[in-house]
Amino acid sequence: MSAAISLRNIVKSYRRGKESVPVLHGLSLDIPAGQFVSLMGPSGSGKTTILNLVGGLDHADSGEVIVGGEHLESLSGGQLTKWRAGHVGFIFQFYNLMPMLSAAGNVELPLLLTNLSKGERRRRVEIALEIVGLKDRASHKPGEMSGGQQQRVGIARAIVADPPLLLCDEPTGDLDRATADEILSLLQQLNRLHKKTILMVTHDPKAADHASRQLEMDKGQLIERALVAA
Amino acid sequence: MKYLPLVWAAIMRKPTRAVLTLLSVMLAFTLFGLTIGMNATFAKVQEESRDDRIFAFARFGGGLPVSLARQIAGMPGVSMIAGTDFMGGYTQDPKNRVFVQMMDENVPKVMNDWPITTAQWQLIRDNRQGLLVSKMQADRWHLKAGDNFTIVVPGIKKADGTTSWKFQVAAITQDINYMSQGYLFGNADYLDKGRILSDQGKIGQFRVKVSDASKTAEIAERIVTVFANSATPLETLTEKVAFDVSSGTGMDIAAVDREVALAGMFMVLFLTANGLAQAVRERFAEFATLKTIGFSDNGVIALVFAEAAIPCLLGAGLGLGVAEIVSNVMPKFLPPGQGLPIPTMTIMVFVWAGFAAAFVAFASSALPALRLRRMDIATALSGR
Amino acid sequence: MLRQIWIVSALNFKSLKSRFWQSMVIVVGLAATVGVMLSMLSLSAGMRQAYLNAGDPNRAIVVTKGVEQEGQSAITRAMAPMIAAAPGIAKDKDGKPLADRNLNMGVPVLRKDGSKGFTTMRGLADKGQGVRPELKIVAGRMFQPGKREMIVGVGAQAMFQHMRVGDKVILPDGEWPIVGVFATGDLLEGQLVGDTETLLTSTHKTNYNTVLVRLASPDSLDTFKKALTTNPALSVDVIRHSDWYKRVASQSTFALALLGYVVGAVMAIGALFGCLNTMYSAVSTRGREIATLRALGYGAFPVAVSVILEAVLLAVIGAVIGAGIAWALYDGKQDLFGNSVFYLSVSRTQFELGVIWAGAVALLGGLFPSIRAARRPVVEALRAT
Repeated sequence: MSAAISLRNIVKSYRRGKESVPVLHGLSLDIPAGQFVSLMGPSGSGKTTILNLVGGLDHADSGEVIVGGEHLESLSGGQLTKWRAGHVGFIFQFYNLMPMLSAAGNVELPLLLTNLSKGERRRRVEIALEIVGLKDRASHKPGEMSGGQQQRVGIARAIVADPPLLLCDEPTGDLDRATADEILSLLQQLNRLHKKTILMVTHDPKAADHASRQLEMDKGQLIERALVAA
Repeated sequence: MKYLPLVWAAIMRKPTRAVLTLLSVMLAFTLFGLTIGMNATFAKVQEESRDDRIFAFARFGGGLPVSLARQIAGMPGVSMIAGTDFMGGYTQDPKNRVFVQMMDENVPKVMNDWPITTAQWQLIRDNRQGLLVSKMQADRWHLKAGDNFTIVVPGIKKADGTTSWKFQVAAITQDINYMSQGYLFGNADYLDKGRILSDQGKIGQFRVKVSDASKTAEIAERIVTVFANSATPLETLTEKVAFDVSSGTGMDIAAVDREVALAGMFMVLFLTANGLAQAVRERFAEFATLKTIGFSDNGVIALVFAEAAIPCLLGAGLGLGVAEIVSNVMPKFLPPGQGLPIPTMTIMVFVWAGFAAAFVAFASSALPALRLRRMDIATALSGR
Repeated sequence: MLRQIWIVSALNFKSLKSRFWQSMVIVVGLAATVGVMLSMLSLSAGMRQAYLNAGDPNRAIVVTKGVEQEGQSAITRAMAPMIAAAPGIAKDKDGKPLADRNLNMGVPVLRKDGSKGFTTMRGLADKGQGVRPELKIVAGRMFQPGKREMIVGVGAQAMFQHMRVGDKVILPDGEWPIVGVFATGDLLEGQLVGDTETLLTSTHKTNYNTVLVRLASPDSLDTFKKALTTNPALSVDVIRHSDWYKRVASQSTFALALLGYVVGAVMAIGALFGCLNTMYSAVSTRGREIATLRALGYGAFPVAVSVILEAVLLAVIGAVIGAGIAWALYDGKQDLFGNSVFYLSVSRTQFELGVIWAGAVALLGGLFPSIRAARRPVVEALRAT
């Protein structure tokens, strides 16, 4: 299952005390379903903002945000929350796992919001952990894992509810080269085999290379860097 | 429910803090149980006190001539009159204080709500030295039916010049609610005939039963007026007033109880509110993550409330349990005749405790809940 | 060493502001504990104070052997002169011994709020004022011996209805008018006073209750006591008045004080747990700061002491607040207990008790966290977030 993303004429500013700092002025972007897109750019260029808008974590000042046919700009906070569960999976730079839950417990979190039975939840958690290659660490806590393993748990949590869209914010920012490559390969696998649309924000050009389409933010404008046939 | 592991993991994140909080809450509720439980006992005693009985005693101390009984019994509205007295002394060692109430033959008819059978009453009439011992007192002095029991009463002059009174235990009887340490009932004749001649013919107090409960206060007043200028002026107390604690010692015990319970709850509120605010602050990013996963505002707030409610309710339950245990042990450590009621954990006490626990949980989670509701997820995720 | 303790503690207190609400947990906990405890102790403390005031070491009381209360004692007409004749008694200006025959009885009265209560009616005989020179008439006049009239104490007047000069009090033989109001500065002020012999007639009693004597000197007690206890015609106890009241005080106040202490102890334990919680938290918050200090060369001991000092300071502040509240609510209030009128007391002794109680809680509550702070490996603390 995949989701197409469309941003039309997005304007967004941030409040810094009394000042209003404009970040995006009239940005438009189209991502067809099933594409793995990387987004690079200097800090403050607005790339995380785009991620947050696509994920329904934030509202634009004006413009349209259409994900999988849904107009996010017209949804209220509560509706956005409901939409998120099941439509988007987030992967963070610092993993944002619950330290007091086991890996399985962490991965199960999105499923708690559904009506699935306990047995069904456990089954899906096992599948997700299998996909990321951590089936034998299900009962371990984040404190007992390396950075790479923790990120895998983060990815498993992001895919366990089978959302069509994955949003990654510097997923390899805290990992060494070798581990980062593993994680990025995993993302590629999710894109190719499981047809997930992936939007990844990153600093690292080598990470960006793993995507099939590379974008760059420069002074509020998006520039196409590269496109590889999917 | 399915969210329980999540809440539990959150509570046990800092096990020391969780345990200390629980213990503190437990203690506050132990105090709560003892104080409000004592008020519950007061209320129960008040409820169970009869509105058709009056205590009459000498206004200026000393005994009442037994002949007064016939006069009072003859007054309009009085259906029955009984006489009681008491002896305060010790058994074997002055440390072992005992308190024996001496009953005349009409007591069973006036105090017909006491859990003593006619047959048992008859035992101490047949044997003047007989003693009805309630279970609590029997346990205290290790007595069983047939045992001898001697009491030394220094304050009463006996005809034979000694101060010791011999009794035989006639039966072990059921305890009476408001006699918190149990009781010993003897035969009033034994006391009266055993005293020196000049002190005989007297009784300590009368218990008057009226036929029309609506006239009780009126009759009580009339008894005082009739005997006001006699050789033994009387003072009366209706049973309802006598058993009303706030009119007793001059200290409104019920109010003091409530103040203590409140102080304890205030302490707990502060502790819990603080702990929870801190926990939420520490885990703000985690709550943001939950929101990105799709947990609603209300869902996240519910998690926080549960995190407060579980230790509060658990602590309340455990605290009341400890209060119950303490209440059962208390009578052994109090000097007899003290009359301090034993707290009882009635349903109302549990209900009040439940309310208190819920209130503390609500109040504690109020501010953190507000913060979570206002949370800007993007900012929270970016690391505050 | 001391300097280190001072510096570390000063740094600690500077950072206290950022730990405000957690620190308030200790303050509130101890305020509640001490407040409740002192409130409950105010009655027993007041009673104890009143009883201790009432006993004059220059006086001795003579009671029937073995009794614990004046009302239970019986001194016969025959015994009274024998007692008065004993050595060791001070003499008045006529050379007569200052030995007074007293009577005690309970009298029902109406409290100001309308509820029924009791106070004591005391009979003083001809040597009454001689034995109790502190008794002063502040309104009306002294009662005349042989007349059915009485005087009331200022305490009784404050607590009960119908206690003005001219009001009447019901006694066993009818109503007696109040002719005066007296003050003594002690427990007697809550009582009513009349003539012993007249009271005897009124109550149809034959015996006095006690005899109160003024000793020639505090040391004459032994002589006096020996003379009476070796007399086979008498079966009495002779006790210094102040000791008598000490005994009465401890009996009457025991249960009440116990209750206060028990409640105070339970709350203190609750506060202790709160204190432990806060201090563990404080130690972990200050983790990096402490580790830095130690890396710089400050010892573990000063660090530990600073933690305990913080706990103690907060606890003492809480105790003073709680004691202050108890004082404001209860100190000086008049109350009736048994047959006597008392003033509730939250005095300096109570304040000190509260502070010591709080200090003990804080010491225990700060001890374990302080040990943890001192023992934590510096490297680990520096790395932690």
